[in-house]
Amino acid sequence: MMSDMSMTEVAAGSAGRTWRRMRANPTMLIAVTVLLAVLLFALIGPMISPYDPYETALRMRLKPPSAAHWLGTDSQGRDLATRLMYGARTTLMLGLAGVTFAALVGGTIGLLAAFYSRLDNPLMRLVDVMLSFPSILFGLSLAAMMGPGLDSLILAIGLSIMPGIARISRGAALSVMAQDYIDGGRVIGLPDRTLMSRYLLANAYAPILTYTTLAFGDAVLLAAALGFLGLGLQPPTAELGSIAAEGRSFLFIAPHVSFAASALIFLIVLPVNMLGDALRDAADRRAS
Amino acid sequence: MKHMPQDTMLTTDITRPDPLLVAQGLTVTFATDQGPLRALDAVDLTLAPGETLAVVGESGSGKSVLSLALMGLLPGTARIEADSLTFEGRDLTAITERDFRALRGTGMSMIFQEPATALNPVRRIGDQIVEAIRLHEDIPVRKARTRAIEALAATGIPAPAERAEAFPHQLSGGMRQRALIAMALVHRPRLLIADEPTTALDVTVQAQILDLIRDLARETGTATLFITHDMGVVAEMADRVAVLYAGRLVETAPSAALFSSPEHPYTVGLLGSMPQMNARGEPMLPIQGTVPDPRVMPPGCHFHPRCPFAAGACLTDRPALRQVRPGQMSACHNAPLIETLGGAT
Repeated sequence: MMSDMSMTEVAAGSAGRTWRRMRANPTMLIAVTVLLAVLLFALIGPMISPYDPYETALRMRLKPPSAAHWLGTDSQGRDLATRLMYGARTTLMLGLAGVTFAALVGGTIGLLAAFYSRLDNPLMRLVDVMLSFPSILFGLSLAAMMGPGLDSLILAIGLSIMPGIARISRGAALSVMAQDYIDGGRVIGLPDRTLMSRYLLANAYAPILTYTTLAFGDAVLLAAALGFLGLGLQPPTAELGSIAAEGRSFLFIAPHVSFAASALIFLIVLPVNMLGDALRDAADRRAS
Repeated sequence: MKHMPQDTMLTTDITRPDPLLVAQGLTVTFATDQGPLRALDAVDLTLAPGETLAVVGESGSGKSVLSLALMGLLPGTARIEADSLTFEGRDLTAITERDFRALRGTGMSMIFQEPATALNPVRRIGDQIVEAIRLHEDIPVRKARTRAIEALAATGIPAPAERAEAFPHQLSGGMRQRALIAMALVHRPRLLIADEPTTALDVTVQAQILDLIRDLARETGTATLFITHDMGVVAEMADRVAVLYAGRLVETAPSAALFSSPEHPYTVGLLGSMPQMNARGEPMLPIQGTVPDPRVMPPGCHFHPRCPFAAGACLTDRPALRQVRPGQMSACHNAPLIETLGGAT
C-alpha cells in the first residue's frame, strides 16, 4: 500500500531489512571482519612488505618467527609472511575467477533448463553426471588433463563447482516460472531474452547469489587443494596450497610454514561459509 | 473427431460477416505420466469484432486451457489440434512463434485472475507499461512514459503519474488489476481475454473492474472473451455465452436466451446454483456429483452421471451441438428441454 514512505526507501526496503538482520547477527560481524582483514593482508600486504617473495636466501632457511620475519622463513629462506600475502592474493583470485565462471555457466544452464522445458532433461542430466563426481576428484582430473596453467586451473575450479550452482539456479528459476507474471510478460509479446533477464533472473537471483557466496569458499578450498597436490600454479609462484605442501616436508623441524599457510586458508574459507549461511538466513523470510 | 461445420456457421451472427476469432474442433491434449489427458474436446467458437463472449464452466472444465490455447501460451506438453483456428483470418496453428509474439499485445492481450502475481514484482508499474508500449512501437521512452500515464489514467487510477513510480506490492488488488488492464489495452488489441479478472478482488471492487473492462472494450472496439464461473458476471457483461463442461462445449446462446430458457441440463444446474435476491427461502439447487476425472471420462454425454434426465442414448452417444432456436445451440439429446419436462416449466 502506498504511504508517506518515499519510493527509494521502499525500493531499498528488502536490502535494508537484510542488512539490519545481518548487523544484528554477531557471527556475521566476525565473518566480515576476518574476511576484510585477510583481504587487506592479501591486497595491501605486498605493497608494504620489505621482502621479495621470490628471492631466495639459503642461509636463512626455515627460521622460526622473529622480529625481522614475523612468521619466519620458508625452505628457500624467503619471508613467509610475504609469501603468504602473495599466496593469498593468488588463491583468492583463483577462487574468485573460478566461482565467477561457475556462476555464469551454471546460472545460464539453470535458467535455460527452467525456461525451456525441453532443455531441462538433457541439461540437468549432464549436470547430474558432473555432480556424481566429488568436485575435488573432478577438478583434479580436469587439471591433470589440461595441464598446468592459469586458464586451465580456473576452468577446472569453475567446472567443478558449476553443477551445484546450475541446480540451485534451476530450482529458483522453476519457482519463478510458475508465477503469473511470466505469462503476463508473454501476453504483451515480450521476447524470451527479456523474460529471462528482467523477469526470470531478476526474481530468482537471491538464492543463486547466496549459494554462489558459499561456493566461493569451495572454490578457494579447491584451488588450495589443487596447489597442495601439485596440480596448481607451478613453483615458484606463491599459492597457499603449494606453500602448505612445501612446508610438509619439514613439518617436524619447522611446522610454522605449513601451519601458517593452512591457517590462512582456514581464515578465508570459514568466514566465507559463515557469510553465506548468514546471507541465506537473512534473505530467507521464514527464518527469524 | 466428429464435428459439424454447418453448426458453427449457425453460431455466427450473419450480420457480422468477418468473425475475429474462429475455432473449429479445437482439441487440446496434455501428455501426462498417466497417458494423454484431453482438456478440450472439439470445441467450436466464434467471436465477432467488438463482441463480448462469456465462457463459463466449473473448475476443470477447460476454460483456462482455452484462453492459454488462444494466446499460444500452453506448455510444451500440450498438443493443439483444430480443424480451424484463425484470428483475423490468420491460421494460429501454423503461425511462427515470432509472428505470434508480434500478435500478442497488439492483436490480442490478456488479463489474469490474480493481479497480485501477474505483474513483475521487481519492476515499477510505469516501467512495465513503457516496456509493453516500446515493444511494439518505436517511440522514445519519454513519449512512451506519457502514454503509459495516460493509459493508467484511463483506467481511473488516481494520481497515475505517482502510481507509475510504484512497485506492484505498493498497490491494492483493484489498483493492480487496473494497471494490468491498462497494460493489456495499451495497443488497443482487437481481442482481450479476461481470465476470471474479478475472482481475487473484493466484491465492491469487482463491479468497478467489470464496468471498466466493459467501457474500455467498448471505447476501443475490443472483443472480449470473458472467462468466468460466476453467472452474475455473465449476466452483467456478456453478449453471448458459451458453456463448457468437462472440455466440451455444451451450450451456446445469446446471454438473454441462456438465462430465460437454458437448453442444457448443466446450464440449468449452473443457473440453479446461483443465489437469487427475490427467491428468499427457496434452497439453491447444487448440481449433484463432481466434474469427472479427465483421464476416465464417462462414455456418451460427459454430463450424464450428474444429469437428472439421463437415459438411453445419453449413456452411449456423444450428443452433437445442434440448434434449438435461432442463435442457441445445445449438446443435449433431450433438448429442447421443455419437451423433456412435458411442459412442466
